[in-house]
Amino acid sequence: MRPLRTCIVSAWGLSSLCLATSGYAGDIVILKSSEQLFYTQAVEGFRSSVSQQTSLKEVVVDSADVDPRALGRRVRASNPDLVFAVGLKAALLAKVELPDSPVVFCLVLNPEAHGLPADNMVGIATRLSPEAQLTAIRNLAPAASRIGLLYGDPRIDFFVTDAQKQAARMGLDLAVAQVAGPRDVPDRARGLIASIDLLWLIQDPAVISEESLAFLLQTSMDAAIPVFGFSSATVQQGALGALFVDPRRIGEQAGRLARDLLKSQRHRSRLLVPPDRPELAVNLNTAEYLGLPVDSAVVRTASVLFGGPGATAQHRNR
Amino acid sequence: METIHPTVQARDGLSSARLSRFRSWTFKLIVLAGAVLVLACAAVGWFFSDRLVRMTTQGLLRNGTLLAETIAGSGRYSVIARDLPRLEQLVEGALIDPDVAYVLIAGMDGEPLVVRGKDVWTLGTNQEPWSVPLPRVSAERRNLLESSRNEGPSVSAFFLREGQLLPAPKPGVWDVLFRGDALHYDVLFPIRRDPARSPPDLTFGLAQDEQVILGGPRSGSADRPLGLVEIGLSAKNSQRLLRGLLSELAWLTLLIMGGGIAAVAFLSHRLTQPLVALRDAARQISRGDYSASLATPSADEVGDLSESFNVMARSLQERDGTLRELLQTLEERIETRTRELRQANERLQQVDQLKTSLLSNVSHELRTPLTSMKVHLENLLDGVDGTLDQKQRLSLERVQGNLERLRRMIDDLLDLSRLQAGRWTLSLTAVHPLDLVADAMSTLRHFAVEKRVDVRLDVPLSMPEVSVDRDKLVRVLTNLIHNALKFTEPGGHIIVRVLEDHGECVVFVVEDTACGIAARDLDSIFLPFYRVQSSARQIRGSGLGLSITKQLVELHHGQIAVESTVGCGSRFTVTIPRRSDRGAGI
Repeated sequence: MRPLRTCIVSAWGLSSLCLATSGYAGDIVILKSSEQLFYTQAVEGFRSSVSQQTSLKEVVVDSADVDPRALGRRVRASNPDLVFAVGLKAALLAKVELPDSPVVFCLVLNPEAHGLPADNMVGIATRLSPEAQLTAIRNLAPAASRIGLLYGDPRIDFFVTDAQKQAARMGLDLAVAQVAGPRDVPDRARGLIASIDLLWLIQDPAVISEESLAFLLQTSMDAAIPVFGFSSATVQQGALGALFVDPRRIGEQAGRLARDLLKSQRHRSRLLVPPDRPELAVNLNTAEYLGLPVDSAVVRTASVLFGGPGATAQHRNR
Repeated sequence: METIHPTVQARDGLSSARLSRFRSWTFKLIVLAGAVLVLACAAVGWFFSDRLVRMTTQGLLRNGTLLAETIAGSGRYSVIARDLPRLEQLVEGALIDPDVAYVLIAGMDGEPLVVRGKDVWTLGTNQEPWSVPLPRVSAERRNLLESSRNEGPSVSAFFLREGQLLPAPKPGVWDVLFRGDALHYDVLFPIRRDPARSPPDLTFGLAQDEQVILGGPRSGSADRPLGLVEIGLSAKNSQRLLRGLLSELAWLTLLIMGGGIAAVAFLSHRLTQPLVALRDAARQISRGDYSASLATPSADEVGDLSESFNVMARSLQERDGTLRELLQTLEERIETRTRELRQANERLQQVDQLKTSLLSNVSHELRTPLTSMKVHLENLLDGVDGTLDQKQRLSLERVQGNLERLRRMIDDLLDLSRLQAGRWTLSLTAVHPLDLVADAMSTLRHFAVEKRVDVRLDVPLSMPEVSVDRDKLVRVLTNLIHNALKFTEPGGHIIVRVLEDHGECVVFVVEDTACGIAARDLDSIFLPFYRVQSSARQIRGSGLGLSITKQLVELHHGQIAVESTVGCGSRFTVTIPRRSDRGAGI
């Protein structure tokens, strides 16, 4: 009886311990590209989603007194169970210097353009799919059937092609204007705005800069054409709405992904998962100015609402 | 008591004192206060004008800079994108400001994208030539853009004169207010990328990171300006405003100066009036008129001064009266005392004359029986009346000696009374001093030998003769030498010396080694009947010898002096003019 009782108690204790930790405890190195706020928010989200027993060591890559290659060698020598790379610089360092460690990366705008993800890497996409964005556009402005899109970076040709296909599937008319550079934007934009119901701005460095964004928003506003942006900041500046990702949630999603990897000990490679919870921002002031009724269901699903007196009056629905 | 009113006194005082109007305190105070007021008003006026000009200029430049900054911010992307319609719209809006003369927006290369102006700066189109050239050319703007990294606006000033631009490196108050040329400021403001945009946008941040990794510059951190906004500000309105203010300030300054000078004139007049009255009253008092009194118009320092002056005048008047009374009493007392003295003197003179007369008469009356007694005594001694034995002879000889003494005393008294009565005259003859000394010594030699006193004579033979009364001067010398012999102890010595004093006088000196005369007795030994207290009991004498000697010397217009040291001896000096009838100015 005694050996049986001992076995039962040991099994109960082990199961209790597993339930208490509810995660796998391992060594994780966080490579942060720089001290930018959105990188820090992503790291915070990551830390909140991994097990508390997990040993986390955070390293900033873009530091003046650290050679990135030496940093990579030191991380490799510590033989971590997993590396969490935040930002393009960290992801590239992990790709080059840590080919043997499992890597989870996030907040890379165009990963395909940089050969990401590599064999030992999984990542979370920053750019939302055309399907999700066009769906959000339809929900926000159902009357807009002619959608205008400006782009210039050839690295996102695939995205534009995909968007055209998706628009066609959804019965929308997507008018695409390619620009050669920032100086080309005003003419192209004026020509495009004259023939569309809504201007869709995507994350294209060839089109979007701080100056051109203001121009596009002001020109569209003058022409009473709503703009669908790509961040809550664009909505704050006057865009009707935007589907965007929250860095903290991206970090949380990466944490869950890392936990699964460490738990299952399965080698998953070349996986780029979309953000699981894109967020919607709506500017009710712009909608009111443009005379566009916003469906109350859409308002309820919006994470960030700009409305009320003052352009920066903001309300988060969560 | 007369009261002098300050106004009347001031008017009279000014005319009487002949003071120059320009030297008066009133004039000085007015000039001084006027100068101070002028300087103060000029300094304050200049200070305020300078500050006003600076503030106005700063306000103008601040407005222009703000306008340029607004245009730069609004047209930032329009400059990048060459959105000329939008830029023209901005420029036209800026020209609504009345102080804005022209606006130019240039691109990164300094070339103008849009230019507009008004008034003389009406340029019409974007194409040159302009009616008035702009102060900067494209190359200059390009240089400024290249050299301007993180600097603020660049401002330069210039004057516009008949279509010509004249540089004004540092326009001052004079340039702004009084120069006829229109002052303009050229404000050049660089168009920069917006340095900060909040909140930080994830998309921009990721795109920038990607761009940096790929080797491109950060889009938002490039230092080089995108272009520039050049605004010409006309200071015409400011100048008009400032000139108006300056004019008002000048009138106000003149008003203050006039009021100030008038106030100073009034105050100085009030101040100097009592002073003038005080001066006149002081002059009146100095003339002996104490009736002057000052009015005390105010209870201030001047009033105190007037009151003090009045008190002083009253005090002076009282003291003057007292002094006058004292003077009057003193004169009367002096007169009375003088009269009394005169009467006493007359009485004394009468008494002296009576005494002299008495002495003379008594001496004369005594002398006659003495002479008879002497004759009879001599007859007795000569044996005319019988032979005398030795004892009788000795008694008679003792009587004869006493008679002789009495006779000499009577002779001396008679001589003194005659001398004092001025009845002696001189019988001058030319005599050698040695003869005088020899005559004197001839009668005293046996006395000297008897007393064993050495008498030395020191009389140069080359000594000239002297015109004197021989008998009287011999008597003088005899008295002095006899006195010396009487008081010199045996074994002592006497020196009789004769000296010549500059050829005008002859000096007879008799020195002895006697006991000397006390200093307290030196002034009295020449008085009649005075005898030195210590010697009176030991040595016989009448006390008339030195008195007669002095009278005889003075009869010769000479002088007699004595020096003596107790215990050492005495020296009598007789100075006789060589011609005693002239007096020889001793």
